[in-house]
Formats: sequence, C-alpha cells, structure tokens
Amino acid sequence: MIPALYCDGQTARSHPVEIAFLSNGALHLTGSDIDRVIPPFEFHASDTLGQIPRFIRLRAGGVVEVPATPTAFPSRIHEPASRFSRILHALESHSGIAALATLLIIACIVAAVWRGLPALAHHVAFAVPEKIETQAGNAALTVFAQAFPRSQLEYFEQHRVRRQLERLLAARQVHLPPRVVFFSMEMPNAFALPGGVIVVSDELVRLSTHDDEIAAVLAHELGHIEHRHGLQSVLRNSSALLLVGTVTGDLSTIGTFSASLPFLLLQFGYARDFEREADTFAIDLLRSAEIDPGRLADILTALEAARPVSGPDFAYLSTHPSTAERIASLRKITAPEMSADAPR
Amino acid sequence: MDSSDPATKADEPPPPPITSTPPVLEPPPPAAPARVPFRFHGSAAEYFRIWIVNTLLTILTLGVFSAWAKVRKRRYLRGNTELLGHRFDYTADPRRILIGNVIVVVLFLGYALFGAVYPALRLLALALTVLFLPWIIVRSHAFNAHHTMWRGLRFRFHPSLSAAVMIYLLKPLLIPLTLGLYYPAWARDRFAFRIQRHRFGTAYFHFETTHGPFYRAHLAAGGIVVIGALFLGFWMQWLTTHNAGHVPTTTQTLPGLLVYGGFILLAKHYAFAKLFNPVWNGTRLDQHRFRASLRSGRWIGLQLTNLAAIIVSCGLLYPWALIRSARCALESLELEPAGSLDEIAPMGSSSGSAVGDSAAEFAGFDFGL
Repeated sequence: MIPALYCDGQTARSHPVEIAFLSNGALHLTGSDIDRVIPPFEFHASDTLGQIPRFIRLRAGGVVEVPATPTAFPSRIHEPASRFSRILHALESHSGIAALATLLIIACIVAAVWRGLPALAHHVAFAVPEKIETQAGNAALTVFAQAFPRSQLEYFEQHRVRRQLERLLAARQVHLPPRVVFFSMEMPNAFALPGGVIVVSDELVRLSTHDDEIAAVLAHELGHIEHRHGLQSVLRNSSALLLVGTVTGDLSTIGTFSASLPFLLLQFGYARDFEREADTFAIDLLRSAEIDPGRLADILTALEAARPVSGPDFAYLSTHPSTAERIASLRKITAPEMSADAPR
Repeated sequence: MDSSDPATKADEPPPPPITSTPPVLEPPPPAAPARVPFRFHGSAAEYFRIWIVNTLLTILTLGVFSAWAKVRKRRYLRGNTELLGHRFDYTADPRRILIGNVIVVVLFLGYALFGAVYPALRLLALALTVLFLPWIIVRSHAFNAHHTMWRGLRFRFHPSLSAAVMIYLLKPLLIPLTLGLYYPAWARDRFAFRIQRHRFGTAYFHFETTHGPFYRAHLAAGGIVVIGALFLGFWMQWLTTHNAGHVPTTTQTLPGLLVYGGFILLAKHYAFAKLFNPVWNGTRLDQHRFRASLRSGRWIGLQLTNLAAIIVSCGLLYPWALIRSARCALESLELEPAGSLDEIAPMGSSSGSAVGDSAAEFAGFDFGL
C-alpha cells in the first residue's frame, strides 16, 4: 500500500488514498469514501523525473499523485512508450553519467572551436575590406622595419625580383596589387603579410641560382596573399577580435593585432594547411606562367640546407615538419613535367 | 502526509464507504484566513544531472531533443512546486513543442537565406513577424496554461487575439509618442492581460494592482539605466580625448559597453524585484488572494551572484542559478484562501470540456516564449 492523493477531476478536492497494484496490473484506490479498481488500460502514469511525484492520470478523469518512492511502481505498469524515458531517468540519476556528459559537452565545444574558429576566421578574412587589409599590412610592416636592418641589395638585384613578380602577375592577378619589400635578415626567408606585402630577405635573393626560383617563391607568397592567410592568422590567434568582427563587423582594430604577425611568422611560420594551400596556388600559377613548378622544390631544398642548424629547430618542427614533406609532395606533383623535361 | 489543506484533514474517522461524508463541518479556522505557503523542493544537484544529460542529448541530436529537454525542465520545476500538499504538473507533448521549434527555425533560416539575396524580403519578414507576434504570444500562453495542472484541474488562458493586438502592437506605439512616460502603464497592462485571461478550472484570475508601483519601479530602474548611460558617455569622452582624435575602436569601447550592459541587467532585476510583491498582492483567484514578501535586496544579490557564477563556470552553474531563483521567488509567495478551494471545478461539463481540451490542444503551440 502506497499513500497517495487523489483528485477526481470534477473538483479541486483532495482525497488522501492508498494505492496498490493488483496482480493483473489494475490500480486499487482505497480511501475514506473511495474504493475503486481501475483496469490497467484505463490509466497512464507519468514518467519518472528526479524526485517529483508520479501522476497517474485516469482516462475517465482524475489524477492520483504518488510521492516519489523508488519502489512504488511495479515495472509492469510501465507502458512500452516509456522505456525511452526510463533510460533517460537512469542517465539523469547517475553522478558518473553527469560527469561524463559534462566532459562530452566540453569536448563538443572544444571541437567546435577547433574546427569552427578557422572556418570563421576564413569567412571573416574574406569579408575584410581592402583598405583595412592594407592598413593591417602596414602595421605589420612597421614592426618588421623596426626588427630588421635595411636591405643591402643593389638596385639591379631588387629589380630582378620585381621583374619576376611582374611576370607572375601577367599570368594571374591577385585581389590587390602586391609589392615586394627587402630586409637583411641574416637568413634566407620570405613572408607574405596582409595587404599584399611580400617580405624577401637579401639572403634569399642571393641563395637563388635561377630567376625561376625567385618566381617560385613569389608565386607561393602570392598564394598566401590571395588566400588572405595573413589576416586569417591574425584572426585565428585573436579569438576576441574574431568575436567582435563576427558580431559587429567592425574590424578596425585588426591593425593593432596584426602587429604581432611578424613575430608569429618568424617563430612558427604559417599553419601547415596554409602552406599547402599556397603551394597548390603556386604550382597552378607557375604552370600558367610557363615556369617549371619543380623550381619551388629546388628553392625549398636550398632553403632547408641553408637554414642555421642551431636555429629554433624545435619550434620550426612543431608546425613545419612539412618542409621536407612539402618538398616530397612537390616533387611528386611536378614529377611528370620534370621527366618530360629530362630528355631535353 | 503533510497536507495542510484544512479541508482534507478531518477525513479519517468516518468508517468505510458511506456514500459521501458531508464536508460541511470541516473548515477549522473560520475567522482569520490562514496563509498557505508555496514550497519548492527542487535540488540543484539533481537538476544539474537532468540538465546536463538533456543538454548533451540536445547537442548530439542537433537540437531536436531540445523540445523534450524543455518539457522535462518545466515538469521538474512545476513538479517540485507544492501548494496545499499538491504538486503542479506539466503535461505537454514534446512533439508539439518540436513543431513550434521547427516552424521558428524554418522561418529564421528562410529569413537569413532569402534575406541575404533580397534585402527587401527581410523587411517583409520582419513586418510579418511583428504582425504575428500577438498570435504567437496568446497561443504560447494558451498552450502552457492548458498543460499546467494542479489537483487534477487544468489552467486555461483565453487566447483573445484582438486584445493581444491591442496590447502588443497598438499600445506600444504610444510609448515613443509620450517620450516613454507610457511605458510603466504599458507594463502594467501587459500583466493585467496575462493574468486576467488565465483561469484555473472555474476560478478566474483577477489583477488589481494600480499603476503606482509600476511607475515607481520603472522610474528607479530608468534611473539606473541613465547612470549606466552616463558612465558610457564619460567612457567614450575619455577615449576620444586620449585617442588623439581617432574614432575609438570596438575593443576600446567594449569595457564601457559591458558596464552599461551590467547596469541594464541590474535595472531589469531591480524592476522585477520591486514589482514581484505588488503584482502578486494584487492578484486574486476568485476570492483567494496571493501574498508576496520578496525582499528586493535579496533578489538582486541572488541574481548578481547567479550571473557571476554562470560566467565563471562557463554556463555549468546555470541549473544551480535556476533552482536558487525558483526557490527564492516561490518561498516568498503565499496563498491566502478565502475558504476551501475544493469547489473549483473544471470549466463546463466533463464531456464538453474534452472537446474544448482537444480544441485548445490543436490551437496551441509553444514558440519558446
């Protein structure tokens, strides 16, 4: 016998009753002026939820309110439809499940951030007006200019590089007019900054053995520019900026943040997926400019060899183990052309 | 049983089923009406477990489960609310809430997708939404009232569309015309609309609170907003003078905006706390009155700590905040019955009401209001 409260649905009057389930599943209600047997198909019990009472609703009207007691209900009165809610209730009553669910939710959010933030950065970077992109590039360039001495290159050497850029642009334009800037950096290097700025170190120009190698490097950097990798990196690294940019559409602060880009590029370079994208772009561009894409692999190999051994190798390795990998995949992609070239 | 209903107490002595004992002698305190408190039995730990599992299922089902989660939340809150020994019950079918959700999502996606292509369509969609708002509001109220039960009887909301259009579309037009002075009166009319159109079985809700408390609460809340606005103004002024003539960027204005937002939240909770007592004290269910004694300082402090806890825990303490708020509000509320509530019956005859039931069932959707 389980104490319960019965209301007949005709008035708001409350009747204290005792309930029992008969062997055929019928519900037996007994109280001071009540003695009813309700057949099993004439009532339906609400699902278990926390410690709230179970409400047994009679089809003919009326409700029996049963205080929550775990043993109050024989399992057979559960209708098949409530199996789902029984599982749910079991899940909801376990602290361990709750802890697991918390971890899973955090994992879901982390995954969304991991995959979602780059996608968002991509979206926002392509929405940034040219003017702001140029402004961001100038901010980054100012920082570069403070960190590195001016270029020692002769005019004709700089001109040689610029001619290669013109050669590439004749084959394909990028979304804004790019320009090349030279610095003496003590090691061969090249970067693309937002706003179409390509930074080339004196050492790289001297390292190259062929004009086509310079063109290959520039083609790769144009890939970074066309794909707005500079802005995307700034946005990826500043979730606050990304949030503000997405919500308000105001990206005027991008300049402040892009000042940190040079350090980032020097230390870690672009993310792997960006390098791959830029390589693909470069191969396409070099082909349409009728330059052997294998030149990119050549200059990368030379760069790899010229890199100071005592350099920050670990940092380079963490994001850039790709250099060797990139050379390999470049060689693979360009292999047919190379073999076609070979007999000549 | 801790049933404190005076009418049900003396039910034990009479022997077996003598047709029905006359319940005439029962009300023991005939004079001063005794107050009966609302009690809340919810537990933050228990609700956290329910909430986290339901949230996970909502994520895993890409939002489809949210309808079931919503019903479980409402059932939990109502099922833990006790009055006169009986709990409240919520009987909505999650599938109907799912339909409401799907309609809202489809409309919003359509708005976002087509609006991007045809900007004119955006205005049209916005206008349609505004026009449909009264209908959505009354249908949601009707749905939720219909599915809330106590002692085997349902609540009802009379979904009068013309009155809703008056309250939610026409009267707000007066607010700018009166430079905002009409706003507190409008807030009062909204409460009146909502409360007076509810009934519980055959018992009607009445709303008798005057405009006075609304004007006082909103005037003070407006003052809080003005202080926040002044702060924002000073912040912007300071930025422009220290920014060498540049227009301040969003990141620079953000702290000012956050503080301003904090003031707006404070004003909102202040208005709620100050209006809770007058609204409930002016509400009657037939001749039965409500008595509220919420201390506004306590409520505001509670809401501010809730906000801090939710931010610090990245939302994980939301269930705790919800349970705390419900407990605080419900435990400051009492019912002052003018006699027994037992005479309240369902509206109409039992067979007739079944038709009414299904009609309300078909008409009602929950749109997440």
